[in-house]
Amino acid sequence: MGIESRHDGKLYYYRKRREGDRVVSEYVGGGVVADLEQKRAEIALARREAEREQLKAAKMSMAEIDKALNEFSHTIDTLMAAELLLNGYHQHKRQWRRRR
Amino acid sequence: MESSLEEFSTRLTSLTMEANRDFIKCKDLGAFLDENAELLEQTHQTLTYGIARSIINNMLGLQLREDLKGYGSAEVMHREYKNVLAGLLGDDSKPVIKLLAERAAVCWLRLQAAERYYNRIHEQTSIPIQTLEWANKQLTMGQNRFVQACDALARMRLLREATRIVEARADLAEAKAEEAGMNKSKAAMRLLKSATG
Repeated sequence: MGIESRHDGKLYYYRKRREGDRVVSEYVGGGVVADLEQKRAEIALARREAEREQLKAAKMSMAEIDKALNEFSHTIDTLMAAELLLNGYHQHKRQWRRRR
Repeated sequence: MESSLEEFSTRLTSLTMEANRDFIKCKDLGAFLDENAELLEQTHQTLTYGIARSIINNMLGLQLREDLKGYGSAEVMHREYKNVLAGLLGDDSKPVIKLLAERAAVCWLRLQAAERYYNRIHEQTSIPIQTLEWANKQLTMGQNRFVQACDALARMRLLREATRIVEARADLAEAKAEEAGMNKSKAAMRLLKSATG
């Protein structure tokens, strides 16, 4: 990607970008400039990949944390219900009412 | 510990449901909670600490690191979590209130993680639409979870206050009835004295 060979047999670096449904090639340079630009693009790509991997890992471990949090939350809700029952309340149609 | 907590949770759910249907079963429920008070205290502390730490580590990407970078930020985040918890708890030291406040604080932390993830996604130049939707969903879920947790805490406090008022009124009515009874007997004594004297 980026480095292209032209009629004179030399290598030149072209940056690609999309404009609507067209891909536009933008001349950057040849020789040392082309090498440097190529390296820079590779580093940027590796960084993006690493960030994407990190986000994927964060997403996966977040799912595990959510599972633990939901179980914990369920126990707390039940404990709250137990406490209210012991204080003379009862639940009727999801509403807590005091026993007469 | 996990299996004993699971057993505890299952038994608690069934006893609570039974007690809601039949008031007499409240006795069993109370006895069960008294029996397991220590287990509950220990497990809930380990659990909340574990969940809070996992969220912080995840938020700062510490589980992927091998160096010590980011641990200072983790400590700052943990302090912030403790401050939120202290604010939610106030001076209340009742076990149930403590648990509800801890849940709300953990939910706050989870919401912070969702917000951070959302912001990180938006810093990216190209994002898959599924990831964007997932981040949006996480943010909404986090907000709902936190609001519900705070609502439960507030409702519990309100119901406890209402119970206290009802009990105080009942005590007052009883005292008044006693006083009226005593006044009646005093009047009867006076009448008797005047009749005999």
